Amino acid sequence: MSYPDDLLYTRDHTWARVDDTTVTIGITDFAQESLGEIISIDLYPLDSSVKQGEPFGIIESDKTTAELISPVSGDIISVNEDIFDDVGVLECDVYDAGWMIAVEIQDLGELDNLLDCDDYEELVDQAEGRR
Amino acid sequence: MQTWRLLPFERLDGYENMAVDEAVFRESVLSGGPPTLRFYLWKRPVVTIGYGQDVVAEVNLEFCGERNIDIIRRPTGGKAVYHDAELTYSVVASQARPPFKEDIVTTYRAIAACLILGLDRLGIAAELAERGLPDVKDSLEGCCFAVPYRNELLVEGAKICGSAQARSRGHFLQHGSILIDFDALTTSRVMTHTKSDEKDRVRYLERAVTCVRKHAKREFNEETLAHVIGEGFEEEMNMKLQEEELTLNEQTLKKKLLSGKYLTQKWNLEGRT
Repeated sequence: MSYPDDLLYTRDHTWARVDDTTVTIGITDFAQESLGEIISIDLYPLDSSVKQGEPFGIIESDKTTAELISPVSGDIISVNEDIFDDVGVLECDVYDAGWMIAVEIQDLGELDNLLDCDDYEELVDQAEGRR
Repeated sequence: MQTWRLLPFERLDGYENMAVDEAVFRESVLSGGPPTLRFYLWKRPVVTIGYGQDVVAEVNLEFCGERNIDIIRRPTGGKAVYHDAELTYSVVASQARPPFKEDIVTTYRAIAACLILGLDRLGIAAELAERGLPDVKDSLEGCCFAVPYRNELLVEGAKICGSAQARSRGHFLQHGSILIDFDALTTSRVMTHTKSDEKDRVRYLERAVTCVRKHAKREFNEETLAHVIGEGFEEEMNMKLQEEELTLNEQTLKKKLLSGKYLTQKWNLEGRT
Protein backbone atom coordinates (compact mmCIF):
# COMPACT_ATOMS: atom_id res chain seq x y z
CA MET A 1 0.00 0.00 0.00
CA SER A 2 1.47 3.41 -0.88
CA TYR A 3 0.35 6.80 0.39
CA PRO A 4 0.09 10.11 -1.49
CA ASP A 5 3.25 12.16 -1.02
CA ASP A 6 1.43 15.51 -1.01
CA LEU A 7 -0.30 14.70 2.30
CA LEU A 8 0.77 14.63 5.95
CA TYR A 9 -0.38 11.87 8.30
CA THR A 10 -1.11 11.12 11.96
CA ARG A 11 -0.39 8.00 13.98
CA ASP A 12 -4.17 7.69 14.26
CA HIS A 13 -4.49 7.11 10.51
CA THR A 14 -5.89 10.45 9.42
CA TRP A 15 -4.37 12.57 6.65
CA ALA A 16 -4.04 16.34 6.18
CA ARG A 17 -3.85 18.24 2.88
CA VAL A 18 -2.43 21.72 3.51
CA ASP A 19 -3.39 24.64 1.28
CA ASP A 20 -2.14 27.87 2.83
CA THR A 21 -4.02 27.95 6.16
CA THR A 22 -6.76 25.56 5.11
CA VAL A 23 -6.23 21.93 6.07
CA THR A 24 -8.48 19.29 4.56
CA ILE A 25 -8.75 16.08 6.61
CA GLY A 26 -9.76 12.47 5.99
CA ILE A 27 -8.82 8.88 6.87
CA THR A 28 -6.19 6.74 5.17
CA ASP A 29 -6.64 3.58 3.11
CA PHE A 30 -5.19 1.61 6.02
CA ALA A 31 -7.85 2.96 8.40
CA GLN A 32 -10.64 2.28 5.94
CA GLU A 33 -9.47 -1.28 5.27
CA SER A 34 -9.00 -2.17 8.91
CA LEU A 35 -12.42 -0.83 9.87
CA GLY A 36 -14.24 -3.16 7.48
CA GLU A 37 -17.65 -2.24 6.13
CA ILE A 38 -18.33 1.38 7.09
CA ILE A 39 -21.92 2.06 8.16
CA SER A 40 -22.00 5.68 9.23
CA ILE A 41 -19.97 8.79 10.00
CA ASP A 42 -20.69 11.44 12.57
CA LEU A 43 -18.63 14.64 12.18
CA TYR A 44 -18.39 17.74 14.35
CA PRO A 45 -20.50 20.53 12.87
CA LEU A 46 -19.41 23.56 10.91
CA ASP A 47 -17.84 26.36 13.02
CA SER A 48 -16.94 24.05 15.90
CA SER A 49 -13.33 23.86 17.06
CA VAL A 50 -11.05 20.87 16.92
CA LYS A 51 -7.71 20.26 18.61
CA GLN A 52 -4.67 18.40 17.36
CA GLY A 53 -4.82 14.84 18.67
CA GLU A 54 -8.47 15.14 19.71
CA PRO A 55 -11.59 13.75 18.01
CA PHE A 56 -13.45 15.49 15.19
CA GLY A 57 -16.04 12.75 14.77
CA ILE A 58 -16.79 9.06 14.98
CA ILE A 59 -16.85 6.47 12.24
CA GLU A 60 -18.81 3.26 12.69
CA SER A 61 -18.26 -0.01 10.91
CA ASP A 62 -20.28 -3.17 11.35
CA LYS A 63 -18.77 -4.01 14.76
CA THR A 64 -16.70 -1.02 15.81
CA THR A 65 -16.86 2.66 16.53
CA ALA A 66 -13.63 4.59 16.08
CA GLU A 67 -12.91 8.19 16.97
CA LEU A 68 -11.54 10.29 14.11
CA ILE A 69 -8.50 12.19 15.36
CA SER A 70 -7.69 15.64 14.06
CA PRO A 71 -4.17 16.30 12.72
CA VAL A 72 -4.41 20.02 13.56
CA SER A 73 -6.20 22.55 15.76
CA GLY A 74 -8.60 25.14 14.39
CA ASP A 75 -12.17 25.92 13.41
CA ILE A 76 -14.10 23.69 11.04
CA ILE A 77 -14.85 25.76 7.93
CA SER A 78 -16.31 23.00 5.78
CA VAL A 79 -17.90 19.55 6.28
CA ASN A 80 -18.30 16.99 3.50
CA GLU A 81 -21.99 16.23 3.96
CA ASP A 82 -22.07 14.09 0.82
CA ILE A 83 -20.40 11.21 2.66
CA PHE A 84 -23.24 11.02 5.21
CA ASP A 85 -25.49 9.68 2.47
CA ASP A 86 -22.81 7.72 0.63
CA VAL A 87 -20.26 6.25 3.01
CA GLY A 88 -19.37 3.81 0.22
CA VAL A 89 -17.23 6.53 -1.32
CA LEU A 90 -14.68 5.79 1.42
CA GLU A 91 -14.09 2.35 -0.03
CA CYS A 92 -12.94 3.75 -3.38
CA ASP A 93 -11.68 7.30 -2.79
CA VAL A 94 -10.51 8.17 0.73
CA TYR A 95 -8.14 10.91 -0.44
CA ASP A 96 -10.41 13.03 -2.61
CA ALA A 97 -14.19 12.46 -2.64
CA GLY A 98 -13.84 10.89 0.83
CA TRP A 99 -12.49 14.02 2.55
CA MET A 100 -14.31 14.76 5.80
CA ILE A 101 -13.70 18.25 7.16
CA ALA A 102 -11.65 21.34 6.33
CA VAL A 103 -10.11 23.34 9.16
CA GLU A 104 -8.68 26.85 9.31
CA ILE A 105 -5.41 26.07 11.08
CA GLN A 106 -4.35 28.27 14.01
CA ASP A 107 -0.72 27.26 14.34
CA LEU A 108 1.23 26.13 11.28
CA GLY A 109 3.91 24.82 13.65
CA GLU A 110 1.57 21.91 14.47
CA LEU A 111 2.35 20.51 11.02
CA ASP A 112 5.81 19.60 12.31
CA ASN A 113 4.16 16.98 14.53
CA LEU A 114 2.77 15.09 11.53
CA LEU A 115 4.33 12.29 9.49
CA ASP A 116 5.32 12.39 5.83
CA CYS A 117 4.26 9.54 3.55
CA ASP A 118 7.45 7.49 4.09
CA ASP A 119 7.20 7.69 7.88
CA TYR A 120 3.51 6.85 7.73
CA GLU A 121 4.17 3.86 5.50
CA GLU A 122 6.76 2.65 8.00
CA LEU A 123 4.22 3.06 10.81
CA VAL A 124 1.68 0.97 8.91
CA ASP A 125 4.26 -1.68 8.12
CA GLN A 126 5.08 -1.91 11.82
CA ALA A 127 1.40 -2.10 12.73
CA GLU A 128 0.98 -4.97 10.30
CA GLY A 129 4.08 -6.72 11.63
CA ARG A 130 6.08 -6.35 8.41
CA ARG A 131 8.99 -4.54 10.05
CA MET B 1 5.18 -13.06 32.61
CA GLN B 2 3.07 -9.95 32.12
CA THR B 3 0.07 -9.16 34.30
CA TRP B 4 -3.35 -7.84 33.36
CA ARG B 5 -5.64 -6.07 35.76
CA LEU B 6 -8.82 -7.95 36.67
CA LEU B 7 -11.62 -5.74 37.98
CA PRO B 8 -14.02 -7.06 40.66
CA PHE B 9 -16.77 -9.35 39.44
CA GLU B 10 -20.01 -7.49 40.07
CA ARG B 11 -23.68 -7.16 39.25
CA LEU B 12 -24.64 -3.58 38.38
CA ASP B 13 -27.47 -1.93 36.53
CA GLY B 14 -26.97 -1.33 32.82
CA TYR B 15 -26.18 2.37 33.16
CA GLU B 16 -23.36 1.68 35.61
CA ASN B 17 -22.03 -1.22 33.56
CA MET B 18 -21.64 0.99 30.49
CA ALA B 19 -20.20 3.87 32.53
CA VAL B 20 -17.54 1.60 34.07
CA ASP B 21 -16.53 0.16 30.70
CA GLU B 22 -16.21 3.60 29.13
CA ALA B 23 -14.40 5.08 32.15
CA VAL B 24 -11.77 2.33 32.02
CA PHE B 25 -11.43 2.83 28.25
CA ARG B 26 -11.08 6.63 28.48
CA GLU B 27 -8.53 6.37 31.29
CA SER B 28 -6.54 3.85 29.29
CA VAL B 29 -6.45 6.30 26.35
CA LEU B 30 -5.20 9.05 28.68
CA SER B 31 -2.86 7.17 30.97
CA GLY B 32 -2.01 3.81 29.37
CA GLY B 33 -1.43 1.04 31.87
CA PRO B 34 -1.78 -2.73 31.57
CA PRO B 35 -4.72 -4.35 29.78
CA THR B 36 -7.86 -4.63 31.89
CA LEU B 37 -10.32 -7.51 31.96
CA ARG B 38 -13.71 -7.26 33.59
CA PHE B 39 -16.59 -9.69 34.04
CA TYR B 40 -20.01 -8.49 35.04
CA LEU B 41 -23.71 -9.26 35.38
CA TRP B 42 -26.86 -7.15 35.07
CA LYS B 43 -29.10 -6.25 38.05
CA ARG B 44 -32.19 -6.26 35.83
CA PRO B 45 -32.82 -6.96 32.15
CA VAL B 46 -31.53 -4.36 29.72
CA VAL B 47 -31.52 -3.81 25.99
CA THR B 48 -28.34 -2.16 24.77
CA ILE B 49 -28.19 -0.70 21.30
CA GLY B 50 -25.14 -0.03 19.17
CA TYR B 51 -23.62 3.46 19.07
CA GLY B 52 -25.27 4.43 15.79
CA GLN B 53 -28.54 2.50 15.95
CA ASP B 54 -31.91 4.20 15.63
CA VAL B 55 -33.64 3.15 18.86
CA VAL B 56 -37.15 3.89 17.58
CA ALA B 57 -36.60 1.85 14.43
CA GLU B 58 -34.98 -1.11 16.20
CA VAL B 59 -36.41 -1.47 19.71
CA ASN B 60 -39.99 -2.12 20.83
CA LEU B 61 -40.18 0.76 23.30
CA GLU B 62 -43.70 -0.10 24.45
CA PHE B 63 -42.80 -3.70 25.34
CA CYS B 64 -39.62 -2.60 27.12
CA GLY B 65 -41.59 0.03 29.07
CA GLU B 66 -44.22 -2.51 30.19
CA ARG B 67 -41.51 -4.92 31.37
CA ASN B 68 -39.26 -2.27 32.97
CA ILE B 69 -36.45 -3.19 30.61
CA ASP B 70 -33.89 -0.36 30.50
CA ILE B 71 -32.69 0.80 27.09
CA ILE B 72 -29.10 1.99 26.95
CA ARG B 73 -26.91 3.09 24.09
CA ARG B 74 -23.43 1.53 24.10
CA PRO B 75 -20.21 3.37 23.28
CA THR B 76 -19.41 0.47 20.95
CA GLY B 77 -20.73 -0.41 17.51
CA GLY B 78 -22.86 -3.39 16.58
CA LYS B 79 -26.50 -4.22 17.04
CA ALA B 80 -29.08 -4.49 19.80
CA VAL B 81 -28.57 -7.03 22.62
CA TYR B 82 -31.06 -8.20 25.24
CA HIS B 83 -29.01 -8.74 28.42
CA ASP B 84 -30.45 -10.99 31.07
CA ALA B 85 -28.99 -14.43 31.84
CA GLU B 86 -25.50 -13.83 30.57
CA LEU B 87 -21.92 -13.22 31.60
CA THR B 88 -20.52 -10.08 30.03
CA TYR B 89 -16.80 -9.52 29.56
CA SER B 90 -14.92 -6.39 28.65
CA VAL B 91 -11.31 -5.93 27.60
CA VAL B 92 -9.51 -2.60 27.43
CA ALA B 93 -5.97 -2.53 26.01
CA SER B 94 -3.58 -0.79 23.69
CA GLN B 95 -4.08 -1.81 20.09
CA ALA B 96 -0.33 -2.08 19.67
CA ARG B 97 0.19 -4.51 22.56
CA PRO B 98 0.81 -8.02 21.19
CA PRO B 99 -1.07 -10.16 20.35
CA PHE B 100 -3.37 -7.27 19.48
CA LYS B 101 -2.77 -5.26 16.34
CA GLU B 102 -4.27 -2.17 14.86
CA ASP B 103 -6.61 -4.11 12.65
CA ILE B 104 -9.92 -5.01 14.18
CA VAL B 105 -10.09 -8.58 12.95
CA THR B 106 -6.85 -9.57 14.72
CA THR B 107 -8.22 -8.21 18.00
CA TYR B 108 -11.50 -10.09 17.60
CA ARG B 109 -9.68 -13.30 16.81
CA ALA B 110 -7.24 -12.93 19.73
CA ILE B 111 -10.07 -12.44 22.24
CA ALA B 112 -12.17 -15.18 20.65
CA ALA B 113 -9.24 -17.58 21.18
CA CYS B 114 -9.35 -16.78 24.94
CA LEU B 115 -13.10 -17.36 25.08
CA ILE B 116 -12.75 -20.67 23.21
CA LEU B 117 -10.19 -21.91 25.76
CA GLY B 118 -12.39 -20.78 28.64
CA LEU B 119 -15.52 -22.46 27.29
CA ASP B 120 -13.49 -25.61 26.62
CA ARG B 121 -12.97 -25.90 30.38
CA LEU B 122 -16.70 -26.53 30.64
CA GLY B 123 -16.53 -29.04 27.79
CA ILE B 124 -17.99 -26.62 25.25
CA ALA B 125 -16.46 -26.77 21.78
CA ALA B 126 -16.81 -23.24 20.44
CA GLU B 127 -15.36 -22.13 17.11
CA LEU B 128 -14.93 -18.97 15.09
CA ALA B 129 -17.60 -18.11 12.57
CA GLU B 130 -15.75 -18.06 9.25
CA ARG B 131 -18.45 -15.98 7.62
CA GLY B 132 -21.71 -14.33 8.58
CA LEU B 133 -25.12 -15.89 8.07
CA PRO B 134 -26.54 -14.58 4.80
CA ASP B 135 -30.20 -15.44 5.47
CA VAL B 136 -31.07 -13.40 8.56
CA LYS B 137 -34.76 -13.52 9.29
CA ASP B 138 -36.40 -10.31 8.16
CA SER B 139 -37.00 -7.74 10.89
CA LEU B 140 -34.32 -9.32 13.11
CA GLU B 141 -31.50 -7.57 11.29
CA GLY B 142 -31.06 -5.08 14.15
CA CYS B 143 -30.60 -7.89 16.70
CA CYS B 144 -26.99 -8.84 17.50
CA PHE B 145 -27.59 -12.50 18.20
CA ALA B 146 -29.52 -13.01 14.97
CA VAL B 147 -26.47 -12.00 12.96
CA PRO B 148 -23.24 -13.94 13.48
CA TYR B 149 -20.38 -11.94 12.01
CA ARG B 150 -17.11 -13.42 10.89
CA ASN B 151 -14.83 -14.15 13.87
CA GLU B 152 -17.62 -14.41 16.43
CA LEU B 153 -18.21 -17.56 18.42
CA LEU B 154 -20.43 -20.42 17.40
CA VAL B 155 -21.25 -23.75 19.03
CA GLU B 156 -22.66 -26.34 16.64
CA GLY B 157 -23.34 -23.55 14.17
CA ALA B 158 -25.32 -21.34 16.60
CA LYS B 159 -24.07 -18.06 18.09
CA ILE B 160 -23.12 -18.19 21.79
CA CYS B 161 -21.30 -14.88 22.19
CA GLY B 162 -21.71 -11.48 20.54
CA SER B 163 -19.07 -8.75 20.82
CA ALA B 164 -18.52 -5.13 19.82
CA GLN B 165 -15.67 -2.63 19.93
CA ALA B 166 -14.85 1.05 20.32
CA ARG B 167 -11.46 2.49 19.37
CA SER B 168 -9.69 5.73 20.16
CA ARG B 169 -6.13 6.94 19.91
CA GLY B 170 -4.46 3.55 19.85
CA HIS B 171 -6.67 1.86 22.47
CA PHE B 172 -9.73 -0.34 22.24
CA LEU B 173 -12.65 -1.45 24.35
CA GLN B 174 -14.22 -4.75 23.39
CA HIS B 175 -17.16 -6.09 25.32
CA GLY B 176 -19.31 -9.08 24.66
CA SER B 177 -22.17 -11.20 25.96
CA ILE B 178 -21.68 -14.88 26.70
CA LEU B 179 -25.18 -16.30 26.92
CA ILE B 180 -25.83 -18.49 29.96
CA ASP B 181 -29.48 -19.07 29.05
CA PHE B 182 -31.33 -17.85 26.00
CA ASP B 183 -34.87 -16.50 25.95
CA ALA B 184 -35.82 -16.42 22.26
CA LEU B 185 -39.33 -15.07 22.86
CA THR B 186 -38.24 -12.02 24.88
CA THR B 187 -35.29 -11.42 22.56
CA SER B 188 -37.74 -11.33 19.67
CA ARG B 189 -40.22 -9.12 21.49
CA VAL B 190 -37.76 -6.42 22.52
CA MET B 191 -37.12 -5.74 18.84
CA THR B 192 -39.39 -3.75 16.53
CA HIS B 193 -41.08 -5.84 13.89
CA THR B 194 -42.91 -4.85 10.80
CA LYS B 195 -42.84 -8.16 9.04
CA SER B 196 -42.85 -11.88 9.75
CA ASP B 197 -44.75 -13.97 12.22
CA GLU B 198 -43.60 -14.15 15.86
CA LYS B 199 -43.47 -17.95 15.79
CA ASP B 200 -41.18 -17.80 12.75
CA ARG B 201 -38.90 -15.30 14.44
CA VAL B 202 -38.68 -17.36 17.63
CA ARG B 203 -38.03 -20.53 15.65
CA TYR B 204 -35.29 -18.74 13.75
CA LEU B 205 -33.65 -17.46 16.93
CA GLU B 206 -33.83 -20.86 18.58
CA ARG B 207 -31.88 -22.29 15.65
CA ALA B 208 -29.42 -19.41 15.27
CA VAL B 209 -28.57 -18.84 18.95
CA THR B 210 -27.38 -21.12 21.73
CA CYS B 211 -26.16 -20.79 25.32
CA VAL B 212 -23.69 -22.19 27.86
CA ARG B 213 -26.39 -24.08 29.78
CA LYS B 214 -27.22 -26.14 26.70
CA HIS B 215 -23.68 -27.36 26.05
CA ALA B 216 -21.78 -27.34 29.37
CA LYS B 217 -20.53 -30.81 30.33
CA ARG B 218 -20.07 -29.90 33.96
CA GLU B 219 -21.91 -27.87 36.57
CA PHE B 220 -21.23 -24.17 36.65
CA ASN B 221 -22.61 -20.90 37.97
CA GLU B 222 -21.94 -17.30 37.01
CA GLU B 223 -18.79 -17.11 39.14
CA THR B 224 -17.29 -20.34 37.88
CA LEU B 225 -18.04 -19.32 34.30
CA ALA B 226 -16.20 -16.03 34.85
CA HIS B 227 -13.35 -17.95 36.45
CA VAL B 228 -12.86 -20.40 33.59
CA ILE B 229 -13.10 -17.66 30.97
CA GLY B 230 -10.48 -15.73 32.95
CA GLU B 231 -8.26 -18.83 32.88
CA GLY B 232 -8.77 -18.96 29.12
CA PHE B 233 -7.44 -15.39 28.87
CA GLU B 234 -4.45 -16.23 31.09
CA GLU B 235 -3.52 -19.27 29.04
CA GLU B 236 -4.01 -17.73 25.60
CA MET B 237 -2.38 -14.40 26.45
CA ASN B 238 0.37 -15.98 28.59
CA MET B 239 -0.26 -13.59 31.46
CA LYS B 240 -1.46 -13.52 35.05
CA LEU B 241 -4.62 -11.73 36.14
CA GLN B 242 -4.24 -9.51 39.18
CA GLU B 243 -7.37 -8.30 40.96
CA GLU B 244 -7.57 -4.55 41.44
CA GLU B 245 -10.25 -1.96 42.04
CA LEU B 246 -11.07 0.96 39.75
CA THR B 247 -8.59 3.80 40.20
CA LEU B 248 -9.79 7.09 41.70
CA ASN B 249 -9.69 8.71 38.27
CA GLU B 250 -11.80 5.91 36.83
CA GLN B 251 -14.31 6.20 39.68
CA THR B 252 -14.61 9.95 39.13
CA LEU B 253 -15.01 9.50 35.38
CA LYS B 254 -17.58 6.75 35.90
CA LYS B 255 -19.74 9.11 37.98
CA LYS B 256 -19.39 11.82 35.37
CA LEU B 257 -20.33 9.48 32.53
CA LEU B 258 -23.25 8.16 34.52
CA SER B 259 -24.86 11.54 35.19
CA GLY B 260 -23.82 13.29 31.97
CA LYS B 261 -24.35 10.46 29.51
CA TYR B 262 -25.72 7.04 30.40
CA LEU B 263 -28.56 8.21 32.64
CA THR B 264 -29.76 10.72 30.04
CA GLN B 265 -32.49 10.11 27.48
CA LYS B 266 -30.58 12.35 25.10
CA TRP B 267 -27.77 9.82 24.88
CA ASN B 268 -29.82 6.65 25.12
CA LEU B 269 -32.55 7.67 22.70
CA GLU B 270 -30.89 10.23 20.43
CA GLY B 271 -27.22 9.33 20.65
CA ARG B 272 -26.19 12.83 21.75
CA THR B 273 -24.60 14.05 24.96
